[in-house]
Amino acid sequence: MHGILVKNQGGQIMISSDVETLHYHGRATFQQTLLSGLNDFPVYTGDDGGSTLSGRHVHRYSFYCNDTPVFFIRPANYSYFHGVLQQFNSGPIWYVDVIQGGPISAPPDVLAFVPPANIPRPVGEPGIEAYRPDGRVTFDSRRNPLAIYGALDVIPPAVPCDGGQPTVQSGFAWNDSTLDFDFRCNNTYNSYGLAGGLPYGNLMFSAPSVAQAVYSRQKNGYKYSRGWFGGQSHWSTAVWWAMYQSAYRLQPNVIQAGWAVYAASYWFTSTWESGGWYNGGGGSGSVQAGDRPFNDKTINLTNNVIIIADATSYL
Amino acid sequence: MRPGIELFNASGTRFFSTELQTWNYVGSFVVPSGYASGTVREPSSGNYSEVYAPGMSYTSWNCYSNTGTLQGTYTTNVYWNGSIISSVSGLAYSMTIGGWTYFMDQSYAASYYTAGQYGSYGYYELHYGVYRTQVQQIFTPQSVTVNLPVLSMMSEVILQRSAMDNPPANQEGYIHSASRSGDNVTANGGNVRTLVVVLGR
Repeated sequence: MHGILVKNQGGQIMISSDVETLHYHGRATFQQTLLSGLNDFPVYTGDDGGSTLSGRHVHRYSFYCNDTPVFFIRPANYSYFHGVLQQFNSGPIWYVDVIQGGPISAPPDVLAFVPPANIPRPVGEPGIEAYRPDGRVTFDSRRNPLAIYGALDVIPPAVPCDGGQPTVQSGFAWNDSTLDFDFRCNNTYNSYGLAGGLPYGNLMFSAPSVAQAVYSRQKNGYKYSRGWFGGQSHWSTAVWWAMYQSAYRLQPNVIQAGWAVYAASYWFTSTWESGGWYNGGGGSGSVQAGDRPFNDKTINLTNNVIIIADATSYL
Repeated sequence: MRPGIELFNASGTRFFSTELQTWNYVGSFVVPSGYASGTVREPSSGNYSEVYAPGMSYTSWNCYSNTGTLQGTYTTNVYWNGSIISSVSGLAYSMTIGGWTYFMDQSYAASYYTAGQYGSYGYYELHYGVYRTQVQQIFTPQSVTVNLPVLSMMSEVILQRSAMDNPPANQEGYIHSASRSGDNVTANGGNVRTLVVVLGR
């Protein structure tokens, strides 16, 4: 048996030539920002001027690669939450969509890592190479191997909203459309400690955004108008809904598993019946605005692994 | 001085060290989504007109295989004010018959009102909810097991899962679960193409 096996003092394996270590293949090319905004509810015009949502931007990147890459995010602004929504490929061209929370667009650097076999081999530089018995290279110090600084099993809180869990509530005045719930998500997260001494300002992380949640606040309104010979009922329903995706934020010595808003809107309807007024009564009618294409539910809310490394060596 | 390996680039910058390395990348694999190709059939006739579900009773659909064979009848969930008032056993939005799982498509919001007079007061009920209107996807369960002999040397293994080819707004996109047993890592149970990254130490 030949090869390299390096263990730490705890007996845990740090390098093995039997394992194909990930190596840096390059920086993904920023293509475009697919979505931007959501600092406030679309359609809804009744807010008080403050932000009713935390904002988000979805950035798309591309990368040419014959292997399935593992993408790492190096934030341009570490105060924002990030996550990889999905990656897909067309032949050797890979695309990755990154969600970035926050009011301002700040596309992060996205770095691609793959096993070393298909990365061009430097010529003439000294270094260490390790091969499997079948001749496949598993480690090459000249091809920028990835040192994983940390990997944590994390999960965001079940309810993304800073205001807790919104409810369906009746008893409001007819046509009440005042938003009384905090749909922002900046302050809703679980924190996980990182090992001390990490170079915080240049850390990168592999962070899939798989959990998705939709929550809504509904206010039902009613009014009864009495006329000379009867009455007339009026009803209204106002619904604010928001869809969130899990996202992550690196802070000094801690990683926060939280959320970023992905979609949101406002749905309003008002209706009134006929009759009840003097001499023939009033007419009936209804108005409706907005849409509501999603249901309230959470999917894929399970623990998932975040991988952390230092981007300094690769950028 | 602790034993280990450090690697420096030509400029003298340390870029790899066993002191810093905390986990090994062991490997990765992709689990297919499970969606099968084939002709997707519409529900039996008339069901589109039942989107508004008169009387709020549940509606049933006939589901066909991709060869056009009637596989069975599926009963939808009916919602009222966001709560299910009629449901079926098993998966909420699918049924499995003969190894094939049939998923209902993206939901459609619908609403209607009933109003009337009760004594001197009016009454009003708002019925809004979500009604499934057609079979859109045909799904076969997928399970992938990968043997990684090096895991026998690892005392700890963790698994990262991420979605591939999954539109972010898909409310029926479930990533596969993953688990380790000995030298094997198995992923299944979802319906979205899933990248599983295995780390060990």
